[in-house]
Amino acid sequence: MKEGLEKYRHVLVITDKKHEEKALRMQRELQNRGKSVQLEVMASLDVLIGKELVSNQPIGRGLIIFGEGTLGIERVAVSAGYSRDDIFIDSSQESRAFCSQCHHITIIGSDESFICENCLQQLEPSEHYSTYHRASLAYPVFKETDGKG
Amino acid sequence: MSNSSKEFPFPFTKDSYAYSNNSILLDPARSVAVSSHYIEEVKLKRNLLNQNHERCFRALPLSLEAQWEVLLLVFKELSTCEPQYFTLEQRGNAYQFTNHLLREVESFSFKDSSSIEVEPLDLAGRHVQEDLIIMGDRHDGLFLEAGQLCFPSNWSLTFVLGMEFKAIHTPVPGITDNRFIEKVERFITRIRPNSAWERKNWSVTITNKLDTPLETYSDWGKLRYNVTEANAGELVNLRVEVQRLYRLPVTNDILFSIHTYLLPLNELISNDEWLKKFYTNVKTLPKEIADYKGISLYKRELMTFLERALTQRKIER
Ligand code: HEM
Ligand SMILES: [Zn+2]
Repeated sequence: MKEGLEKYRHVLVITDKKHEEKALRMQRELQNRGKSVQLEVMASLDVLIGKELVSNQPIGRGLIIFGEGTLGIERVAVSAGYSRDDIFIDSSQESRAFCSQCHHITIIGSDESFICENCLQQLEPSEHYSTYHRASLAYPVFKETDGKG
Repeated sequence: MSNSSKEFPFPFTKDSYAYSNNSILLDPARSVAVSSHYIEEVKLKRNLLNQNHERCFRALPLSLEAQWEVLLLVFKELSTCEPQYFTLEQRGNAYQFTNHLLREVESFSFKDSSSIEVEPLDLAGRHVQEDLIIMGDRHDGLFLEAGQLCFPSNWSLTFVLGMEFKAIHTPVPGITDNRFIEKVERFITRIRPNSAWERKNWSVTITNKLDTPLETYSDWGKLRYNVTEANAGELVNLRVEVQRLYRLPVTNDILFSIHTYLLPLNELISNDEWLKKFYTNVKTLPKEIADYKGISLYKRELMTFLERALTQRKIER
């Protein structure tokens, strides 16, 4: 767990859908340490909803923002009275990719093409995300020469 | 005219194509249909199920109630609407379904899982040509809770299991424009008990392969590179899915059935009206949709083939 979060008794966690699993893991970890956690999930980070959320918080809380494009919410949080030290950002790309050929899930670190650990197909992750599998669908990549010869 | 042409549900009504809610109310309400390809297609489905069960059948435990409802609905419908091919007898809770086309008898006690060897939806699907999907109608949306899917057009049942209707449609280009998919979902949630709606969806398949799941895309997808002007008539098939949405009256879930038809272009072009409509629709198809349907790779060859047929038949473009 992030060192700096230790001091908060209450933490607000805002996340986009893509980072929901990470946010849930964080929520569990914080709760295990006796903290109260409010988790807010949105399809993608939205400044207006974010503003609503951070404005209604008592002061002295920690704020964690998971997702892509966190800057907008960071700004409204600061104008709502959060100090920069209370805001923790995690935009890291680590995600689960569901192999469309063999159904194995590989943890990947970027949105670039990768090789399935199980069937060794070259795959490309997509925007098609399942909250059930908590993973994005990865499609096979055809090499230019495939099938042409 | 072949049986395939006679039965073929030609999908184009206008001169250009755009995604729309082209559903019509069915009277009487039906969930399945029997075509002249019944025996070969049901056998093909069963082979696929036997060889790749995990790929072709998936169900969440909470779907069991709706699965039983579907089993009885389908068997009752078949025996009522096609009594020459199917009969259903009932004694209390015990049922006996006879499939005269396949010379088979299924006996079971309603809602007694120990009386059947596979799950109820899986059993129902082994007697129809359709793929069968159960969409659970929950307070927060429609969720894919069970499916028997042998003939998908490049999607994975395992991946979409448990997913919500709108999320399932993420890969379709422009599907959220003007809140299209939201409106479709609202339309589905308003379908009345025991009513059925039908729509057609189309795509193009290379060869007459019905089973084109995403899982084997790396095998069949590359055939798209093989299309030439000379072989298009044989290789390229117009693929039409007749999709039905049926509101189950007891569980209030939705049965979504998909009956897939294929027609090789050589047969399609013998109908002047079809040739012309198919040509103008493909010609004006927006690029994103052509890419999504996989047509872009051979669109030039396809157009040349169709233009030659139009010229031969002296049809104005
Ligand atoms: C409730 C049952 C339904 C299910 C389970 C379902 C599922 C799907 C799936 C899995 C795909 C393929 C997505 C992919 O490429 O991964 C798809 C495509 C599509 N769906 Fe649905 N769908 C349903 C109902 C409908 C309805 C009622 C409409 C419209 C009125 C609709 C419109 C479309 C369209 C336009 C496409 C793209 C098809 C193409 O261009 O080939 N769907 N659907
Ligand atoms: Zn794989």
